[in-house]
Amino acid sequence: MKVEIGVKALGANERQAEANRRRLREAGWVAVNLLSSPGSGKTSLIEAALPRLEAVCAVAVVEGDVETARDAERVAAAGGRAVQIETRGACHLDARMVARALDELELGRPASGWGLLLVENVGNLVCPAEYLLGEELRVVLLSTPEGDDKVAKYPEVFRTADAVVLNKMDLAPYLDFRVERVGRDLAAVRPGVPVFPLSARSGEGVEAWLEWLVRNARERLELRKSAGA
Amino acid sequence: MHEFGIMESVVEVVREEAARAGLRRVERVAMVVGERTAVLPEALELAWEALRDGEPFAPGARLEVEWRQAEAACPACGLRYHPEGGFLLVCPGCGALGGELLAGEELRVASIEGE
Ligand SMILES: Nc1nc2c(ncn2[C@@H]2O[C@H](COP(=O)(O)OP(=O)(O)OP(=O)(O)O)[C@@H](O)[C@H]2O)c(=O)[nH]1
Ligand SMILES: [Mg+2]
Ligand SMILES: [Zn+2]
Repeated sequence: MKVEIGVKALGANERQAEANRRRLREAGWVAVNLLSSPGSGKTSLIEAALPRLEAVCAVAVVEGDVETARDAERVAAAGGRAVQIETRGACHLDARMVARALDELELGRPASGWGLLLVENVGNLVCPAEYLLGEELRVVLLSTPEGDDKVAKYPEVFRTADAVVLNKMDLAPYLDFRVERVGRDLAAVRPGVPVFPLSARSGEGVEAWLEWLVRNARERLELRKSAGA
Repeated sequence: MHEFGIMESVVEVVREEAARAGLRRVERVAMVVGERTAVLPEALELAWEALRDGEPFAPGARLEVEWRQAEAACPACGLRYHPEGGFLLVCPGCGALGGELLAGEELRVASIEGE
């Protein structure tokens, strides 16, 4: 007997991601998936963003790393609420790991009305792109020391980005990184995606990204509410 | 990409679907895979052989993959073309960048066969 099914190969993960998204939405939370290669500054950007975001909404952080709880400890030291996922070898987070992190966080409805769940993926510019986690927004970071050719070399992850952050702009004077070259490649890979050059270290440019983040997160929350989906 | 992770999920999908359809022995699984998924045939086959183990898979169960060519549509002149050379979409007619991928990103379990 032959059975036609026609389901997505990663369907099991996508169903779990959808369940995560619903669970978050029902409690008033929006998840953001932060992706980049190792060391681009995901945790640094979260540290820089925390105090400013906490003035606007509730914030919680899920840290994904292959080993150690160091990033969750950094976020906790910065005053944030964080849980660590150690993937023990896996090069990406998947929706099931995030579901377990949600169990641990026990996110209730925030006093401020809504919350942002920042999910820092495992540092890797390839595999995490394929795995939905339940996020409403995807932010891909690229830092200046990595070079301005990475959009063309690793297009998959950029094709799914809702925003691209160019971090470590404070180092740009010492490097031959050109924002225009990134923009040109993005025009082919992900036309119209907003780009935020900034420095998590100095804080310059972080405000513009946060403004985008808060506005878009709120929009997604309203949209879902009115669609009832 | 990441053939092992994909295959883990495929095997899970097959288990669920076989149970739903009341199949106890799965002899053949058909997938549709687009060329833009960057899935490597050998790696996919290797992952299949490693993971299609035990119930409900028949010993020697086969994986058949239909590979789909990519097709893009130019946003400027409307030309439909096969995108060459990497992931950047560049229209061979007018040189415009970007546009829509019509095919090539498929990654599906199409059917299962058994008894
Ligand atoms: N100069 C400069 N250094 C930065 C900036 N942002 C981060 N760094 C440094 O870059 C290094 C890596 O930063 P992390 O924030 O740990 O990077 P990450 O992306 O979280 O790294 P993984 O979690 O390991 O993938 C640290 O030494 C940071 O201090 C920046 O804007 N400018
Ligand atoms: Mg980190
Ligand atoms: Zn054209």
